[in-house]
Amino acid sequence: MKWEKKRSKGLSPVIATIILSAVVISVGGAIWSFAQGASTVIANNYVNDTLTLMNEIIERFTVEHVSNSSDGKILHVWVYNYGDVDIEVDVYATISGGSSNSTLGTKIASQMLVCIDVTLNAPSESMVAIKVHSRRQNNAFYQYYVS
Amino acid sequence: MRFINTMYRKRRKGVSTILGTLIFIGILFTAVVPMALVMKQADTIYEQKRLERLRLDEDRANEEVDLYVYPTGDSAPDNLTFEGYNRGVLGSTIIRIWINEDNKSVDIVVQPNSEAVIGSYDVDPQDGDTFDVKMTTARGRSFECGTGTISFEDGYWSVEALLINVLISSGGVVFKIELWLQLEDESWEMIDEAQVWKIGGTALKTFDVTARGTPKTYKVIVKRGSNPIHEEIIEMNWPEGPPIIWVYS
Repeated sequence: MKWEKKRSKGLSPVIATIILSAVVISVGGAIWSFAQGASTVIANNYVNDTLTLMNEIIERFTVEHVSNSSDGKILHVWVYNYGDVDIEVDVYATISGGSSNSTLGTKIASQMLVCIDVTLNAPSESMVAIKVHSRRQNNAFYQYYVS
Repeated sequence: MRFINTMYRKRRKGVSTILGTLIFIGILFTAVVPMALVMKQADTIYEQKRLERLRLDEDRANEEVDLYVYPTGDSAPDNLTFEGYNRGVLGSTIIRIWINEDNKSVDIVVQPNSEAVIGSYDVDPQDGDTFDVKMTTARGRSFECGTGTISFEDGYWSVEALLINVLISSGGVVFKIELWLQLEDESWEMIDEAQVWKIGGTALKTFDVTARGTPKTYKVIVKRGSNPIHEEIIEMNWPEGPPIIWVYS
């Protein structure tokens, strides 16, 4: 009886060590795996946010030219994207003290010039305020005198 | 027996501590450090692009190109010749010219303090036609023709202004510029004078000689104090030549 007691006491520390090590390794491995996944997600999100912010500050565009159709119903707004990233813009045109209209969601590739038409019944000899608003929250403005 | 138990207990504690430490170091070097490095790299790229764009914006702000237009001449009577003069400190690439509502793509580099012919274009002028011209640079700046609208009436070209531009970059601060006109008997008469201050790198003075007509011969004298530092005779031959003449001192 004494001998058996001794043997069980001798075996349990080994088993306990194995079990404890297994628990430590499995819990540690789980934490390791979680930490790796979390850090990857955090790093990816951070990089994506940084690149989004970077694109926001480096995009550049300008209203290069404006003209109107002979009947004054259509305004042709030429927008030049001289930045390094493609842009998507909304064009708003407002007649001084009058109505306004817009053309939304025009995509312009980098280094390209695009003519955007805005339907606007502008009387001759009126001033039109044009605002080009990018989806990254940048703006370009232009004042046009309808001849 | 107690001694043996104590020995086992100590060894168990050691194994867990070692494993825990290894796992902690593993997490540190395989998750946290790479994450920090990636974030740092993203920050570096962001800062680099921001500064790059800042420099390009400064270049854009410093871009100064003058455009002038004149009839090409008898060889192509329907054509207008476009010329650009870059009075900035950076080279400028002209990518587009506008003639009223039409645009034409070009690719001409105008070096600092020099001029370049951008091209000659058929505009098919009809009596009463007017031409508003401008050009666009690769940096997104647009420059209109310095002499205003060019028009075609009764078979002749005309511009809103004939100009003599004097650009001074010599050492000194205050300069006196005299404009002399050659009379029919080949004597000289001073028709205008101006005092200019050079603030920064250059001083620019424009003389409007539209009322004098063409062809005319002028002499420009630039003085620092009472000492002449530059003297140049120039011909205004519009429409056989440009409506703007540049004098560099």
